Amino acid sequence: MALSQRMPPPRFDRRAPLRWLITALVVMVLVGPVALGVLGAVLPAFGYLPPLGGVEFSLQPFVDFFNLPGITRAIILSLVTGVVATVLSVLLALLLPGLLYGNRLFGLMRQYLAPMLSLPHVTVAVGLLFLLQPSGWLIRLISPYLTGWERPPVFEAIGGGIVQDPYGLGLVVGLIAKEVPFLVLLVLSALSQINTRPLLILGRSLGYGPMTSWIYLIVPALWIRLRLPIVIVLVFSLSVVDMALVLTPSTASPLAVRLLWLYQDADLAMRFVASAAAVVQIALVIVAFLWGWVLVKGLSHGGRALAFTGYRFRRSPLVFLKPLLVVMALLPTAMAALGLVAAGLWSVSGRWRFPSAWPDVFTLRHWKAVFSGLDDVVLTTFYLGATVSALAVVMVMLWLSQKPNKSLSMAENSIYLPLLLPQAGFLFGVQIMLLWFGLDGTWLALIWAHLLFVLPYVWLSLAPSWRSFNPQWNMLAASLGASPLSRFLRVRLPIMTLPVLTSFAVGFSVSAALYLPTVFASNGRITTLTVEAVTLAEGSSRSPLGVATGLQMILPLVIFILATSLARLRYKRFSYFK
Amino acid sequence: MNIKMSRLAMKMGVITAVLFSALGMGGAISSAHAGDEKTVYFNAWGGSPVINEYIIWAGERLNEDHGITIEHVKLTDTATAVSRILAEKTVGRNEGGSVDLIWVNGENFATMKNSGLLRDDAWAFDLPSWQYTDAEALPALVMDFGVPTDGLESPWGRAQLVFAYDTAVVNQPPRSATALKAWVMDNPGRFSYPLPPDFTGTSFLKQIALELAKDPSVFAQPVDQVDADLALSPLWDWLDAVHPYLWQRGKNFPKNYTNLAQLLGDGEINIAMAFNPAKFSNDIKTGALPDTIRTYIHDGGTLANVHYLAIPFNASAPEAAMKLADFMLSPEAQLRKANSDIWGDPTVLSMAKLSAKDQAAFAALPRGVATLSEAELSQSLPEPHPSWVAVIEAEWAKRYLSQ
Repeated sequence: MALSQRMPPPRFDRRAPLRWLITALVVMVLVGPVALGVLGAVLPAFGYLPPLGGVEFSLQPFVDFFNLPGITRAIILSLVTGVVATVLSVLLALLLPGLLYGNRLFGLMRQYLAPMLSLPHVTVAVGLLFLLQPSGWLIRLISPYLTGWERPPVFEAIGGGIVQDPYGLGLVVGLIAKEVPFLVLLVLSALSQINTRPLLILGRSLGYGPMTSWIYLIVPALWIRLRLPIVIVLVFSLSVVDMALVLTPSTASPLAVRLLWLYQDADLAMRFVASAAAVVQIALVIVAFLWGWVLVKGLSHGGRALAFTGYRFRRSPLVFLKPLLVVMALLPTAMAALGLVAAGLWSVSGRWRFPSAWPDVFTLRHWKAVFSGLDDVVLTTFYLGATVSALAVVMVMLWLSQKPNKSLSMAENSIYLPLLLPQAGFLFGVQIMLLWFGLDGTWLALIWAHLLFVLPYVWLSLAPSWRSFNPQWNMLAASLGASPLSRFLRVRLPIMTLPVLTSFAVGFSVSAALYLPTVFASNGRITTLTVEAVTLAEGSSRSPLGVATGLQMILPLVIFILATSLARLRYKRFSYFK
Repeated sequence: MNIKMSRLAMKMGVITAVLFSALGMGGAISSAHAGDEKTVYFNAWGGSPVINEYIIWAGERLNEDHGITIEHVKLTDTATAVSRILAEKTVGRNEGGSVDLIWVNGENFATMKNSGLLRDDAWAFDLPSWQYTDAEALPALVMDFGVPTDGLESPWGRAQLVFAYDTAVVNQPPRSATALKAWVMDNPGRFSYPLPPDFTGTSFLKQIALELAKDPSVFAQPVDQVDADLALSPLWDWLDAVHPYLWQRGKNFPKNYTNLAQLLGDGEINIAMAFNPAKFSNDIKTGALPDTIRTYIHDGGTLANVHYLAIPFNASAPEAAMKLADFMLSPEAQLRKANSDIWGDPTVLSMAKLSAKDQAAFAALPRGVATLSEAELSQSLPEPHPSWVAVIEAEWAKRYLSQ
């Protein structure tokens, strides 16, 4: 700091135009369309959409919206499932690494949770469905020996089924199964940026238990680094469509699903109502965010007060909660994983009568059928994911190679915009725009729509390690006469192989998982595995769904394993540079 | 791996990345030019694997004969595609539309016809395969739910609502709406129907409404010309009584008849339905259903109709779409479709107009263990006027979606 203050005022920087170009590009590619998309949702919500005859502003769309059957219930369901899932996920993700810190499970946790990250949300939902239905694998495994059930049971008390319950519990479990691994991995990466061990030792030396030290010393430090991802999780949970389609009953869908139905209604006048729904969806996110903000303020004040009293949680009920917390954090994910095994079994089952625990007849018929029908879909998913992810990685690298300035950091903040708005809220407007420009259903539109969501995740995954690069290596190379380009290609890139390839894999899995953006931008003309899986999950027999789920699971996983093992192979040579 | 090799690997990586980007962009540019006349975007309900596989087969055959590719856009609800075409018309896209051929009938056809969304040169009557049909013997070929087709759509297949039950657990299937109500209330949790507006679900509602109506003839008239509330009140009373005893207490419904059949196969429910007489034989054959499943229809008959293929006004590849519609109507395609091992959708062709060889081939088709005979299926009910669908679906949503 002192050094830079003594530096002379900056001369004209010949690379400044490049920075402005990047900023402008980001604004044009990301912010502009998103803003227009929001506008495209807001204007029709107030009755204005000239192509459909809406030329006067009115509140009629909102009146119609609130008169829809069951809409209040849908709003409440969205809010409750979204908030409960987020609060539980965050709580579990903050506490679980503390509970396991120093334990053998800690290392295993990272190893087994990372692949979960590459699974699309809908895959996790389908896994839960396969496991927990009244005729699902869990009940098949224990029937009829333990239960005496020769036919699938009818669970009267909870509305008949286990998943697809009217209270959204299944959806909450599904969201936790997916968000806990995401947040835990971010916690692990944040732990490496703070002095975890010395802080914990300090806490212990002052006579606090390990968990108390964790809560007082580590959690606040983690919190600061996790705020953004937590908001992303909140927004996602409040507006999730694909998971909700699979895990909520068809008569009690959350708002985001109702929005999709409105948008797909054959009556074009419903587009106005759909826009009103999109605005309500955005409002919902804001309300939930404010709740969260108040909650967190309260908690941090309370926590600080508690810390000042020196309260040590000894003999507190928390001790008994420990095993329960570990189970709560890992059970949904484990169930989803088990359910995916069931999906795999269904994909090769020729006949599987209830209550057999295993398929009665095995067959490869469904996979063969798929290879004549889904091969295009697999290729599309692969090309799309690879293209978008490669573009995003290159863009983020270029961007990160620039010296940070004001406009760049503004652009950096705006990159998260697509993740901070409910997808259905602005994609709907974006779709109207694409239609207007005749770009709907083109690859260009699809790549761009995917880029909106892939770019921020690639940034999240790449930026921290890219910035932790020790600049002295560059100086050393420069002193040996290496040009900027060769410094980049021969020094920085090789050292950054692991993070770069990992972020590529992350980008790929994000792209492979996108449902709503694909549906809106492709206009039904380009199908990816996720769209196929949702279509099949919504209405097909289990075996084809099992195959689609299997493919959907394998593709990102293969990319993930390939990328990381390739990088590790190279990384061995460079590990001493770190 | 030495440094040289790893540098090579890195370069390869960069090249691959650039290549992918170029590939994607290339794809983007090539598909931005609408009007690839050799690719038919066939928008068809995609909830049944056997139908999807049949469409793949048709695509392969068409590719052999005419070099035409079929992209099956799998819909969960045909209304989605109708609304998309309507949106295209609204923003003034009169060519290069996203749909080339669409599988429709009834309400969706009526909507499209009334909104001018269909190619209107009576192309369907000019198809070479039209000669094998006999509209005098089967008036439904030119009257879709009572609305004249005017050659705006080409017939594809026939369908009739059939019920299926598991003989292992049900002794006597209930053969009327009234009997069904009693059965459901005696067997809580073991019956369901697809969620309207799924076409099978809506058809089931129409079936019950027709059966319970004091005067079924009102349903032949447009809904706004009669007292709809009066005509439908027996239906709502029936549903109000039955819903608490449905699968998952009527809070959750399967999405379509494929889902419903899966539940039947799992034993979660004991009675199911489909708008295809051969569906259950087909599933027994593949092992998806146990061989104790048999089908039946209600004593007063069940709904029967014809389904069609139509070309939107702004199709990008109308010529290729006609080739596909013509092929779908050809004896070759109809024969394969009617085979209950493949799909089992009854043909719309007139046997008298076919060659002796084709007639013999149709006669030799396997019927399937659970499929009713033509004689048993002869009791059928006419479809209500298409305008009833929207009213029934809206009222259903109001009553049962809000709890």
